[in-house]
Amino acid sequence: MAFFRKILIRTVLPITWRHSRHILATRLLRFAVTESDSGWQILNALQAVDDPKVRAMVLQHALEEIHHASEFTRVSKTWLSELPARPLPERDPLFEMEEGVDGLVFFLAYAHVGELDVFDQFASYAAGVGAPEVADVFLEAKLDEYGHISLTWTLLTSLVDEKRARREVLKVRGRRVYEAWLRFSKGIGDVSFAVLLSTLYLVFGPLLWLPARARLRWRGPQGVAA
Amino acid sequence: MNVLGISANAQDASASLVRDGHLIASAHEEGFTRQRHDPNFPRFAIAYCLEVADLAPHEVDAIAFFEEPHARFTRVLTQSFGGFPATLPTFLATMKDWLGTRLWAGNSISARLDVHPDKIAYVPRHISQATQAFVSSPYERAAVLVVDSAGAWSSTALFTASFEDGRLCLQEHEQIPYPHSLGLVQAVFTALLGFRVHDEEACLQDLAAYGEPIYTGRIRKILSPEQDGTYRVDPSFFRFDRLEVPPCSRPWTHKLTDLVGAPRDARRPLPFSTLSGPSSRAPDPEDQRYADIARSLQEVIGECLVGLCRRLRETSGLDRLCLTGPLILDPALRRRIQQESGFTSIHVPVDPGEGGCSAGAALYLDAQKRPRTHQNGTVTPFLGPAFDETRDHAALAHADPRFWQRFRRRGCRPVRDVSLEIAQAGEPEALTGIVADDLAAGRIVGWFQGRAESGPTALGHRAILVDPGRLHSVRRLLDKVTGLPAYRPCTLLLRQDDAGGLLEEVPPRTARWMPALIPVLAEHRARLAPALDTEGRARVVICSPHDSPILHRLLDAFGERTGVPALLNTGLNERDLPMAGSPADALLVFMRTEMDTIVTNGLLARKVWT
Repeated sequence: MAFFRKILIRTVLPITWRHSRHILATRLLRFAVTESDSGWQILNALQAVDDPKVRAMVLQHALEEIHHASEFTRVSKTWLSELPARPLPERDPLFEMEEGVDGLVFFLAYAHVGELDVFDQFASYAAGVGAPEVADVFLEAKLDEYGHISLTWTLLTSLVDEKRARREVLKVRGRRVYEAWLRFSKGIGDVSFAVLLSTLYLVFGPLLWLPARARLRWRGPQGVAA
Repeated sequence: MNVLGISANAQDASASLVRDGHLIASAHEEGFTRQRHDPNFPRFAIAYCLEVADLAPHEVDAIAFFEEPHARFTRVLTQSFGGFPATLPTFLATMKDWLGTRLWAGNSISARLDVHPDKIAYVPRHISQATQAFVSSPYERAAVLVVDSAGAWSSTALFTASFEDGRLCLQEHEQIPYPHSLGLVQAVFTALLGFRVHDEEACLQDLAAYGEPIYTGRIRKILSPEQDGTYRVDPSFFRFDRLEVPPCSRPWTHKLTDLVGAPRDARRPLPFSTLSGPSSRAPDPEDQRYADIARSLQEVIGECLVGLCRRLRETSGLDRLCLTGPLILDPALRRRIQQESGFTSIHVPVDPGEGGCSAGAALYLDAQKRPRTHQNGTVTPFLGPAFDETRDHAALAHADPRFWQRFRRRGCRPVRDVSLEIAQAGEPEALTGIVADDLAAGRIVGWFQGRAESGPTALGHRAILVDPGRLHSVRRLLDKVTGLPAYRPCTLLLRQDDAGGLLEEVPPRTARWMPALIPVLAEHRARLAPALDTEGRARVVICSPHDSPILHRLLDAFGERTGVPALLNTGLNERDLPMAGSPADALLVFMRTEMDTIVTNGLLARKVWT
């Protein structure tokens, strides 16, 4: 699956990105959102860490993710004359999915798998993007993700033994496949929903147009009964 | 009795908790999620409010939602079909949002908090806003003007409000219906001038200070103030349906660009500046046109608001006014209303925007369920969360500032030769002494103290402070810390007792939470120049010893050192982010930017450059 994704990133994406600034900028902004969410997740997990040295490491990890987010935002803004939509997804703390230490273990395993995936993808994006200033941002982020892979693994194995850590990583991989499936299904659902809504709009639109116009017509200030 | 208020799914999600008639907690979701104007369900803000009251969700007596979703949905649907067939793309986007989540707000609250649906009540949006404005005022009886963008069907509402026999009585006299909305017109011009809608309206307002009102005649063709004090909008210039779908792209028709010219490219920097000295470039006619449009719009909106206030004064016969709605955040408009409306006393709530609706909805529901006495405007602007900073500072002691180099804002001074000095200040006198020395030496100070502001304005609890007399520091603040454009003046923080010696007028009572535009005395203008607009006026915030005792003491200590007890104040955040919600957020700003000192409650960290 990762192999096909790499091929896709290196072949199809460059064509769309090079032909549409809007698509490129929107995509970069989505990376910014993902990095910003990682930073937030790390800050949120900080509440479970007491050791000041580990807290310092985790805080610096958050700093890197936030820096990546701001760099992706910066380059995306240089591509458009109009400001693109800023996605504001609902925050869902990974760290709170399990109770106590298990929460931190799950979070670190999730972060570790995420960093591994992103490390692979950023290399492909840098090769395929076709704009040097954007490629630089991907390469810089890729370099940092390499450090995060080992940091998350070190923190994970400091909490549980290596065997359990591998099991947790496998569990997270299963979960990510399930999440990808959910995203795909949602995409299918969205398309069907859009077709249904368009039909309703085109059927009822001509009938409702006049009453709606009448309702929106200026009738002066409206008095309100006490 | 405990009533939880919730505002969500629109622009600024927030939660508030009213206990026995008193607002005890109020917070925006953005402070917890690091997403500016986060519109999502405020789960963290709710958790915070419940923690303050030490309650589980099922122990709350009632939950108030800030608007009636079905009423607003009807309006959105009518707007979509009224623009058939051009509105198909916005219809698809809005319906996905509405049918997916927004229409089922009550069910969603019930499921997420695991409370019975009967506990949840919808409070009409303008009632929420009017209640928030009136209950926080010191008046027993007042006229209330709500100037909104678009809620359900009305965009502007005129009320009278009073407390009679312990009951809140709100009487709505008139409303001006959608699409005749001052807020929507301002939103369209925000987009036209290249700013982010529902976010950077303040940029448009600040830009107005550099323009001349030469487009007022043309703008009156679009937005015409009527003789009777009302106003009328010509919708043929606008595509308001596009304002429902982020990023609110091109919400105008060609008629508008034919009238006032082409839109501004968002990437084009504006060369205006509050700071003297060489600018990056001189304003060209195109830049000046943007400023002139902004000024003309402000002028016409001001006329409309003054007309509405006079009309309300005539119909209500009252001489006290409560003003609310996002438009009221513009200090120039508030000043004009103060001077021209004829009302003798004007009150503005802590958060007149959408975020404040959660407090209004909760207060309204509380007032409906039990008799109450009026609270005489004792509402504090600091109802957000407080934190223990010890663990973060302990972590900072193990951090290596050289490591931060690669992750800093572009253009910041290298931190290769910097070391950190971390200290516990102990007594407030010691802390304020060190910080006042730093400020007087031109250092930029991050200040994180006590409970957070519950409104959108930085009032000194989550602030970045600078000596206004140090031009170099102010430039560093704008370029290397906040990233704010230089045409946006920071607020000027001072004590009530010092206002007489610095300002031409006495600041109003509301300056404790809402910056008031006041001319500075001529002899102080040179020193306070970075805080002044083109007419020598500053946006003044008054620091009260009751709300912020340590900050009050800091102003005193700073005054002793410099002779002018006033500080430049802006929110503790980088551009496009909300104000720091936790000590860790504040430390990230310190690590990423050229901020020199950070104070989190009693702890202090300083960058020492070698």
